[in-house]
Amino acid sequence: MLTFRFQLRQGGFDLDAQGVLPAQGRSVIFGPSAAGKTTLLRLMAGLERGAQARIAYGDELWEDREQGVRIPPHRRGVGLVFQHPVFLPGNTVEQALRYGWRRRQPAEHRDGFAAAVERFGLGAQLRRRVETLSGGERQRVALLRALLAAPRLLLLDEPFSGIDAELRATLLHALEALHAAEALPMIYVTHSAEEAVRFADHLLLLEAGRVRALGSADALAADVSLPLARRPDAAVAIDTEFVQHDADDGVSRLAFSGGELWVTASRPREPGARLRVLVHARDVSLARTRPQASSILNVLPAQVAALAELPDAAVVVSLRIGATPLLARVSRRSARELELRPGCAVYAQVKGVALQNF
Amino acid sequence: MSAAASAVFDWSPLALSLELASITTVLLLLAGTPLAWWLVRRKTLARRAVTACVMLPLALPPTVLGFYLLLALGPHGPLGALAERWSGASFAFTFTGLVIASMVYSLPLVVQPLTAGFERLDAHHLETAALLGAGPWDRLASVVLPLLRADLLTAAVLGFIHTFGEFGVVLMVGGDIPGRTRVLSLAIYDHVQALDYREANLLSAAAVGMSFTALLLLYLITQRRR
Repeated sequence: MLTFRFQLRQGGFDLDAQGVLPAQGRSVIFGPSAAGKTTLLRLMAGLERGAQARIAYGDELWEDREQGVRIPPHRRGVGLVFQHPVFLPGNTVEQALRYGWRRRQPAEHRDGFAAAVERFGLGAQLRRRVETLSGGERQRVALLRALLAAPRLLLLDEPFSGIDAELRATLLHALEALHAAEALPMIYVTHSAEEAVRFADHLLLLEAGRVRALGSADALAADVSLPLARRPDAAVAIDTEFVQHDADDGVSRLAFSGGELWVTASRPREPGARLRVLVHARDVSLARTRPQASSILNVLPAQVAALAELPDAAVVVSLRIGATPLLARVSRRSARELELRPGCAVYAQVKGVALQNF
Repeated sequence: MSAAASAVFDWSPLALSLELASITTVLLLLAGTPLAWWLVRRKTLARRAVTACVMLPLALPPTVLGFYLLLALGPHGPLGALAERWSGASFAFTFTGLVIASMVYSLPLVVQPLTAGFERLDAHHLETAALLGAGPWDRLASVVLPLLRADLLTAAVLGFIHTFGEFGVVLMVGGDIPGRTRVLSLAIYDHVQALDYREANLLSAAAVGMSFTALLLLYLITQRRR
């Protein structure tokens, strides 16, 4: 559990944020630019001074202005990957990677260096100078460098914002695999709604230096009173388990709490493999009766939980399929003609499901 | 001049100048590095005033600086009186007095490259090192010193040759005592006064050679690095 309360005034900027984030899983700090996301992350790492700060990790007090406690960053066991990572000029990739490894890795793990490097696909790059790395390679080296220092908590400040979508997906995949393998708690800062929803188990919404909402990602992403669900690209992530694959039609069946989904997939997975899928609100349409003979693969009985009018003659509808939230974006006219109310039963037709490519 | 005279040519002013410049440079690097760091960390009014004070010796005629240093280091000055109580003699006309005076005189040339280096130092390097487990001294050794290598070298060479070549301050504070405070520049002046041009020439040529070599090394090393 990471318990924090920060108050910081810097120039015209004023941050006053408090909350509790679980010391497990992936937490995402999401907000518009200049909301104070980076500052919040830096405060957690202990890099900002001059704040009224109180932060505790589990039963370890990291900082308390009133008690005069301040554990410096190098003793918090926190890793941080900056948006623009820096390397000492003239260093090779190997020197950069070994910096934290030498200092922090417990002796019994010392033989794992080569394996970790291989897992990140950096084996052939060790002798290169850091100056010659491309943007994506720099991020990969920075991420592995942080991990090799054996952090107990990994902070990521928009680590993949400057690189193209394909590479970002690869890196997110690496991060995801890593999370699954090591159960390393992560706090990830982003201003991309899609990244936030895809990645998060827990969400902290930050606006103008204040915590607007804090809770499980499922609930917050589907809460129509919060900005995430009201965006044109609003989406929810659903955690599923692989059930079966139909190679002839190129579709897979996935089970989730409350129902099943068919998704287009090129290959089968291990039975029981956990997959996170992303369903955009714009890809979900609603009907009051079960549609017959439709091209839509997924028709799910659902209940309307809440709905909200949006400015552009649209309505965003928060649905529940069993316990699983889903969002639908329909026109204001459709909402009126279907007489949508909280509590009423509908059929959600899910057109496109993005199988998590990470 | 006879062959016998050149056999007993007195090189001690050169040795004294080298000793003075070396000791002063080492002490200035030790004192100047934390000072430069402190000056750039935050830009308060007090720190700007200190910066102006540090740079002042560059602006003053060396005799003015030397005069006030003599007063301060002499038996009636604050530092001199302290030394007198401690050891029975003030700093005036002593080698220790020369070192203190030279440190003041050459301070700006050492601090200036170091402040420039610290200004350029990206704080992200230090933060990254800290988050990878490096404590303050570790960061100084593994991040600051390597990144400021060229600036430290520049500071050392400038401090050294500036001290090596000073005249007015050492004359005022040291008093030109042979073997104790008669450094190279004073010896050259004395030789010229005595019309011993050959001696003056030998020492002067040594000074030119020394300073040129030091500067050449500086530029060879720093410009290859950047």
